[in-house]
This record gives sequence, structure tokens and C-alpha cells, in this order.
Amino acid sequence: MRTHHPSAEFPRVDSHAAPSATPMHASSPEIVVKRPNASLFVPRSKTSAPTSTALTVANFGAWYGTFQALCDITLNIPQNRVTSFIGPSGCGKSTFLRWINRMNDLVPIAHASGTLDLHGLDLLSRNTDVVDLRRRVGMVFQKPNPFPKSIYDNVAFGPRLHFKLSHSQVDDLVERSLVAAGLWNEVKDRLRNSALGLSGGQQQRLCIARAIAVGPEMLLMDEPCSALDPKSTARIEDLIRELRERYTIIIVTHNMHQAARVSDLTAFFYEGRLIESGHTDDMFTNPKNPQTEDYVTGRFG
Amino acid sequence: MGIDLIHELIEVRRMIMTMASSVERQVDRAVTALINKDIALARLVQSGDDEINHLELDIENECLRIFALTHPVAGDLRFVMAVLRINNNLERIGDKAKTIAKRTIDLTDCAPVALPKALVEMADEARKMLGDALRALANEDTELSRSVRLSDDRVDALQRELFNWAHKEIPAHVESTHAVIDVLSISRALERIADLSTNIAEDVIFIVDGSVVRHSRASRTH
Repeated sequence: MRTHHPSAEFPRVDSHAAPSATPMHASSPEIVVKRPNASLFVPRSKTSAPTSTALTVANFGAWYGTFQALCDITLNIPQNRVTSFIGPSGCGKSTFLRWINRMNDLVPIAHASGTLDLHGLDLLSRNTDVVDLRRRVGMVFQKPNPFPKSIYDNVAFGPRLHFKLSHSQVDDLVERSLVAAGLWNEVKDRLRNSALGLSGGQQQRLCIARAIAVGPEMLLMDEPCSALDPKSTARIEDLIRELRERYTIIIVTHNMHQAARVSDLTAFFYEGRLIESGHTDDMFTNPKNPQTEDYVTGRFG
Repeated sequence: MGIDLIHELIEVRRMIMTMASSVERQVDRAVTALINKDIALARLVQSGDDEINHLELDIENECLRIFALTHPVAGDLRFVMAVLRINNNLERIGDKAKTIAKRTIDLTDCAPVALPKALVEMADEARKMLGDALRALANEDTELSRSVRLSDDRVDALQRELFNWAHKEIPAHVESTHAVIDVLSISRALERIADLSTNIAEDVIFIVDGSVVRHSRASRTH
């Protein structure tokens, strides 16, 4: 059963800001500094009302042996929104993503503590059905990794594994998934050709089609465009904006402008800690934490 | 050719401060010309406006280049955006200095009228507001910016005083009507200089802490 958390809002976390970190605000309480509410041009991420929480993260910590990769992360990932994780290499964002669909089960020394709750499902419990979890939480990797099979079989592979379907049902599902991934028109006449013959951008969209074919509720994307040219990147970004209507999306990216373009919310990680999170618009125009400011402006990392 | 954001930001900062000092000099000279009835100085102000117009275009181009090539975000983005607005406000202040100079020259051709005290006070106040706004910009001083916002009310009050003076002066000395109109034009230019200086001060607050204080009156929030 799904647990909904009405009125859950993405919290603005500024866990590392010392009191002296925001002297300008502190010293000027007398000035009313609210933006006008009646703006005619409402920023994208603020057009939509807050949604319920899809993934609740509380006091989450993750280790590789004795090395602590993530420390005390508390964050709500809202449903049907795009949340981007940004931060320099080694800050723990990919580790976090890997814990959300339990890919770290394959790493014997990996362990974690705290709460990772997907609509009431305890992601850290030993009893959690990992196969079912991975159906609910799809993953798209940095490098497109289609199976060395036909385009059709790539998309049909998951549904055949999870569900009992007739041929025509699989046909239908493959078509719908490829349409949703914006690939159908390009491949409909060569579905039986090898997926490895597609371009990098097409392969990545095929991987997205493969991920959504099994009916997930959440998509995790680990730098999905870093191996793609600008045109393919733009297509994937358009696709992310479309998929947002149906899925909760978390995207890890090193491309600041990509995070700014596609995400509603942004979380900045540094050295295993969540430094700041909030509306993407705010994070890129007026971050509260000096470390976030330094990172998004390219001063370090 | 590549572009180094930090270097470009330093450059655009240097450019806007150059523009600021040129505009401040223009206003200083216009006010001095007015008070001393110095026609030669007024003419110098008139010819000095071209330089400001050129600077405005240069700064605009530099900001455009930064936006196009470096995609600034956060504090950098606020700075470049504010520079664009400040640039525009400075250019308009330059125009107002030119207006004051023109009316000063005009005044000497009219039947003489004693400059009202309120006009002299207004000139001093506007000049001070501009100077403070530019110092606030140079030092990113939000406290000074806030004091500039508060001064605007005083300038507005002085302008109302001048209108009342004109209402009495024209019927009493009809021959001075032309001069009175010149004085009112000058007061209008000074009032605009005060307004535009307030805009600059508000942009300094925006640069420093991202707060948008435009359209919220300073006196009401204190």
C-alpha cells in the first residue's frame, strides 16, 4: 500500500551554514525582501503545486567498509518532479542513487543506515524484494548499455521477465514504451535490427524505453547525457521534461546548466553531505550556502 | 577564443565603475554650473554626454558576451544582470545632467530669477544620493544602499515645495515665467537623478543578497 504525505514540500536544507554564513540577511531584517507574489511570469518549477513525497530519506548514511560515503542525509524527493543531484566527483551522489535501487547489494562491503522509504516500502530492509524494487525504480546509466539483442527484445526483455503477456500485449508495450521515449518513429521499421546499430543518443533513449517498459514509478538517471552530443542531449532533456508527468525522476549530472534546465529541485552534495537543497531556480540564482555558490559558479569542484 | 569568467567579471566591474565616475563628474559639473551660472562648464557637460553613451554600449556588449559565452549563475548572474540595469540607469542620469546644463544655459537668457533655496538643496541631495549609490556599488555596501533609498523622500518633498513656489512666483512676476519653467525642469531632472540613484542602490542590494526591494517603498519598510 502506498503511503502519501500530503503537503510534503522539498525542504530547503542548509545543514552546513554557520550562523555567520548569511550575514546579509541577518543584518537586514528591517527591509521587506519578498519577491512580488503577483508575477505574471511564474518560474517553471513554481508553476506546479507541491506534490506528495515519493521517496523519504531520513538520517541516511552509507559506507564502503569503514569509509563513510554519505552522512546524515535527510531529504524528501517529491513525486512527478525532476530532482537533480549535483556535486563534485566523489561527493556521494552516485552512491546515493545506487542505494535507491539497491545496486550496492552487489558490493559486499557496502552498508547503510537510516531511512529510505519509497511509498511505504523500506528500501534498506533485507526482506525487500530487490527484483520488484528494480521494476519500480528504473535506472539509466551514463553510457548507453543496450543488450546485444534486437531493438524490440531490448524493450520486451523486462516485461517478459516480470509479467505474463501475450505476443500482441508485448508488441503494444514495446510500441508504447518506444513512443514514450521518443524513439518510435526512428526505429519502427527496424525493430528486429540489433540495438547496437543505433547512434549513442538513440541507444540512450532505447535504455529509457527499456526502463519504462516495466512500469516503474521512479527513474534514476546517472549522468544520462554525458556521453552524448548536444543534439541528442537536447532530445533526452526534452524527454525528461515529458516523462516528469508520469514518473518521479532523479538525475545526477555534472552539467550545471543541465540541472538548471531540466530539474524542478536541486540538491547539492559535498564530501558525502547534503549541503543545500531547494527549488532549482533559487539554487542557481541565489543559493544560501557559500559552498553551493562556489560550486554552481565553478569556483571549485 | 576562450573566455575566463573571473577575468570578464573584473573587466565589466572596471567598466561600470569608469562609467559611474564619468556620470558622477557630469552631474557634479552640471550642478556647479547651475549654482555658479557657469555657461562654459554647462557647455562642457553637454559635450561630455557622448562619452557616456559610448560607455553604455560597450558595457552592454560586454554583458552580452558574458551571458552568451559563460552562462553565469548565482552571484555572478545577479552581478551581470544588475550591471546591465545600473548601466542603463547611469546613462539616463547622464542625460539628466545634460538637461540641467541646457536649462542652465537657457536661464541666463531669461529675465533673472533668484534660484530658490529648495532647488539648491535638491541639487545637493541628488548629488549626494548618486555619490552614495556609487560608493555602495563600489564597496557592495547594503547599509549605505538603504540610506540612499530613504533620502528619496526628502527629494520628492523638495520638488513639491518648488511647485508651490512656482504657483506663487508666476502670478507675482509674470516676466519670470520662462525662468520658473526652467527651474521646474531642472528640479524634475534632479528628482529623476535621485530616483535613478535609488534604483542603483536597490541593485546593489540585489547583487549582495539577492533581495528584490524594488517597488517596496523604503520608508514603509522601516
